Amino acid sequence: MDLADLVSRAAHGDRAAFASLATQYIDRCYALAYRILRDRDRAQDATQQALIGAWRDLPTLRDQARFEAWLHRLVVHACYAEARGTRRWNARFRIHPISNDSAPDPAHAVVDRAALEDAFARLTPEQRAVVVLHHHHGYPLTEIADILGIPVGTARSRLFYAVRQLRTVLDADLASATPGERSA
Amino acid sequence: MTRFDDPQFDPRLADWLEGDPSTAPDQALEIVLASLPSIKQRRATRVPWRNRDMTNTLRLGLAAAVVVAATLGGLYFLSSRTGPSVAAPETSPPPQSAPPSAAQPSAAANRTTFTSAQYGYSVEYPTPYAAVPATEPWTGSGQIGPEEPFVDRFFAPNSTTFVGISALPRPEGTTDEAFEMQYMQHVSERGGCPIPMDAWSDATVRDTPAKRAEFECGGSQGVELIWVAGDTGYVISGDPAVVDLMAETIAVE
Repeated sequence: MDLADLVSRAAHGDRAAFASLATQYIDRCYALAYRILRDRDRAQDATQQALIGAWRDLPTLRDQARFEAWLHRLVVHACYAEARGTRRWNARFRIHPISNDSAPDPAHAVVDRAALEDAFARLTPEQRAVVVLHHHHGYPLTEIADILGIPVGTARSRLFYAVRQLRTVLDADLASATPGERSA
Repeated sequence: MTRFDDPQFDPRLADWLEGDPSTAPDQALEIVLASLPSIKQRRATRVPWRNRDMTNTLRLGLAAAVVVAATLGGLYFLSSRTGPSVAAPETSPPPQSAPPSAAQPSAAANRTTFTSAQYGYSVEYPTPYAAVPATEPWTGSGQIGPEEPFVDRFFAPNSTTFVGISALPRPEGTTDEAFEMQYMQHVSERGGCPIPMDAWSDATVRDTPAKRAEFECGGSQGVELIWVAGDTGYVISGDPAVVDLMAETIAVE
């Protein structure tokens, strides 16, 4: 049975068809949610919330060929809700100090990962969503705008400022981690 | 080297994202599937003229029909208000003879007055619609939807268009603006069809300041209005044309 049939049957209340869809898409939903939220439990909650919302709202989906993009939108919005609920809690976290004796390369990769993690945590959920959809899922900006229900210009702006902020933070972290290299 | 001119930055970012976990825990799927029997699916709220498969000819035909119906209806409406000096054309069909269509409400459409036993307001709705009164008070959770028992619901004959109204006492000590802000925050975070905070704009409902937002839900357009009258906050949500029509007639106690 192809995707269109599954979506159509699920939209008409066929739980088995929806179970097939959920099985097929849950990992992609979770991957998206984790990358936005950076937390396994909250990513799982957002994934469940999105899939349950998909079951509930599937009859209202007009263009069933766009099921995956529509599902991604539900995941992103579930992530927004999760992120807003934990903003104050997250604010207690401090940036991990990076050891000054980190070697340049290839240890730079390790520094990068920790620094990226910290830098990414400083982005808004809306910025993170655009970065993940673009740099991980490979969606073009027009598609991202469609998925998120925002103008293309807004998507472009969010991506630009998010990447600029990531680079700025990484630059600062790298400079403080390897002062000797900076002067070399 | 500054990373602003580092061409490897984007691939590095992609690599970093690639390294994150990509497999959902087994219990996530189990929880979702176990939840399905207890969750009712929403009704489709599709608007016929927004069907992407509709041909231009059909679209133009429907638009012309709407214009004709509105013109005839307007004439009938004027004649009924101003008496014989502005006579409706003898060939004008009475409004009730027009095919009942949720998508074509006009000033001439017959209206029925609904008085909410749950919330006390009254409102006029297009007569072809079916009114389903709320059976329990709204506690503030959930959202205006066709399956919610705390919502006074109005369904088009073809069941493709829906409008819902509900109300909630404003907490003591809360200003109207704070109450509206809380609601807007609530709907911006809801799981289905959220409305971003920046989508709201100032509006009025029967001269009362209100907030109005247009949103998309499953490919259909919707409008939501919130306002406070007395000590009660009211919300009306659903098909844009019918929401605006009904909001013009709503009267609170």
